Amino acid sequence: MSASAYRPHLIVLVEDDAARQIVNGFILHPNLNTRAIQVMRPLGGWRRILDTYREEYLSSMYYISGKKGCAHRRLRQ
Amino acid sequence: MIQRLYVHNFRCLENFDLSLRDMSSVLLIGRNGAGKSTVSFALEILQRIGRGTNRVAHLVQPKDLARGRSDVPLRFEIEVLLEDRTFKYCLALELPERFRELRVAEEQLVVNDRTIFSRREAQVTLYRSVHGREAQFLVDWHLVALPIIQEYSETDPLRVFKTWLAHTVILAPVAPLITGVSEDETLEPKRDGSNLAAWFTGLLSRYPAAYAHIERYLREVIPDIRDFVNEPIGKESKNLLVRFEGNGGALSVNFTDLSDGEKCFYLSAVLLAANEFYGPLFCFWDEPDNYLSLSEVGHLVALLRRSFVNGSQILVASHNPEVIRKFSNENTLVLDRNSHVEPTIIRPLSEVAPSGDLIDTITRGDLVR
Repeated sequence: MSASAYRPHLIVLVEDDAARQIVNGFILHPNLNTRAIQVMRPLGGWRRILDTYREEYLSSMYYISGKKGCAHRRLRQ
Repeated sequence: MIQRLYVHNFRCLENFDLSLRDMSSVLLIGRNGAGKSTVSFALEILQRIGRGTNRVAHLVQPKDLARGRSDVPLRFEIEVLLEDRTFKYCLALELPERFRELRVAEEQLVVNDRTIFSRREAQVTLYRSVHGREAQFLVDWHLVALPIIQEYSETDPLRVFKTWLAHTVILAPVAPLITGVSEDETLEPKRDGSNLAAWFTGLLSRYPAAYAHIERYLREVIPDIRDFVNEPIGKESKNLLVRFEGNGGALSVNFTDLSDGEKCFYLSAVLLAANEFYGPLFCFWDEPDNYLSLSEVGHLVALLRRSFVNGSQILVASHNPEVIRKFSNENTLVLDRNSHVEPTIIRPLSEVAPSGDLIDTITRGDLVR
């Protein structure tokens, strides 16, 4: 029954455990909607983040928004 | 806000020193049998004293002595920061030869280095600096004195400390036991959450504005909820109904018939509202991930961490990777013990942090060796 999938939200792919802990501090900010942000498990390197982003997230982002993934273009550059 | 908890000779806790100074949210991790839940049982004994239980036999049994060791006192010490004052309460229990139940050996409450009362066995000394009087009296040594000493006013340190203890929330919910029926009102939830409806009724009867707070949270996690009704059934009882609407339809469901996870959403909503309206509270939640879908666990833990600030405090014990990842090394404590005949050892995760992935290390059982 999660409501976040079709609402504006942010999925955070973290590189390692240090990055995870930094994000933990960020999501405690009182002005942040905790339900609009989902932090995924550390992936173990920037290359894996890029691969996961392309393979798992990019197509669904394109499908939901109906727009071309500009973040994806930046990553390719 | 608990600054320190010291427990000695209670089950697996020997010379156990839990320092929570200035930490508003803390995670306890460790293998099964490491002593995480025992910490909650120690806290629950203090909570029950605050709620009025004073017969020692109703609080601890001789079997609670670590490995049955009766030649050493069982000791609880708690240091709490409340309204910029430091409260230190100490209770030592002993089991002399030929005694069937433990008795009080020592008891003391100190506020900012001023002793409010102290006790040795049956002899209690009550210090009153305001009234300039000191009273000495005897209390049955099988009774804890704290619940039975009369307070002078709402601001009496005794009152402040007892109220804080009574309002502490210790949760290890058993969702099937949570029903929507309440026969009374309370601000003192039980460990298993079974009196959630009475807690909900008590909260709303004292703080009606809490309804909006609860409803706002529930709408986030259950988007098709419309409202809830606490209907009287009979003279003294009420039954909680939850109403849903969406896609042109409406449905009214007995709270008792909700799913276990949805009941836990309610529990979370009432906890968050309670902390907002009559906090700051201390909460120990043993496995808050129980009954929740994986997509909800992280959101709940992040919200709990964010809500328990400014004097309130939450202590969480869990094995769930999503919960563990929501805490950082600085506020994660690792409990471990080598065998059932050895005591629990506690260390900050920052001291034993693995170089690789934390969850992988825990899964391999390599966190503490």
